[in-house]
Amino acid sequence: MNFTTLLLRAKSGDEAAVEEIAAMYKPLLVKESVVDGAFDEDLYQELCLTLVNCIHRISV
Amino acid sequence: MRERNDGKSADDILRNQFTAYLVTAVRNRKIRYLQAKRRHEQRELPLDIEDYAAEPRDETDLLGNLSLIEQLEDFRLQQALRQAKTRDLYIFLAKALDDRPLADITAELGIGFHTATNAYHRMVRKLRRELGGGGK
Repeated sequence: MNFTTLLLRAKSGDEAAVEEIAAMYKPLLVKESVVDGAFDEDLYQELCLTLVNCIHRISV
Repeated sequence: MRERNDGKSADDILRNQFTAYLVTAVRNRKIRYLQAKRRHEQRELPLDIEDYAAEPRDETDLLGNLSLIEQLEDFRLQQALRQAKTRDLYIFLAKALDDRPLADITAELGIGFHTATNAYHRMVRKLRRELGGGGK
C-alpha cells in the first residue's frame, strides 16, 4: 500500500492505517521525546497526539 | 522490499510534505510543552516545609510539640524564617541544619547548582540583616 492510500485511510478513521503511520514515524517521536538525556513519557504522548492531528489536518 | 523515496513520484512528494509538516508540528509542540513544564516547576515545589518545621528535636520534654521555627527563642529570627520563600528556606535548613551537600539538594529539587547557592546565600544575608549583623 502506498503512502497516499495509507494517509487517506488514516484520515477517514482507519485505526490500523493510523497505527501504521505512527510506527513509521515512531523513531522521530522517540528522538524528540528525549530531553536532557532522559525519555519524557508525557512528551512522547503529546507528540503522538500531534501526529494524529497532522494526519487529520494535512490536505491530500 | 522498501522502495527508494527519490521525491519524484506523487506519493513520494506527499510523504515528504507530510514528514516536513509533522517535523515542524512536533518541534513546535515540544517547545510549548517544555515552556509549560518549566513554568509549572517554578510554581510547584516538590517539598513541604512542614517536614522541617515539625521535625522532632532533643528538647521535646521542654519544648513540647512546637515546630522548629517556634522553638527559636529569638523572635526576630523566627520572623525572618517565616517570611522567607519556601524554597530558599528549605535549601538553607537542609544545608545549615542537616549539613547536606548542595549537590544533593539541587538533585532533589531539580534546580541548578547556582540557583541553590544563590538561594542559600540570600537566606544567610537576610538572616544577618534581620538579626542586625549587616547584609554581607
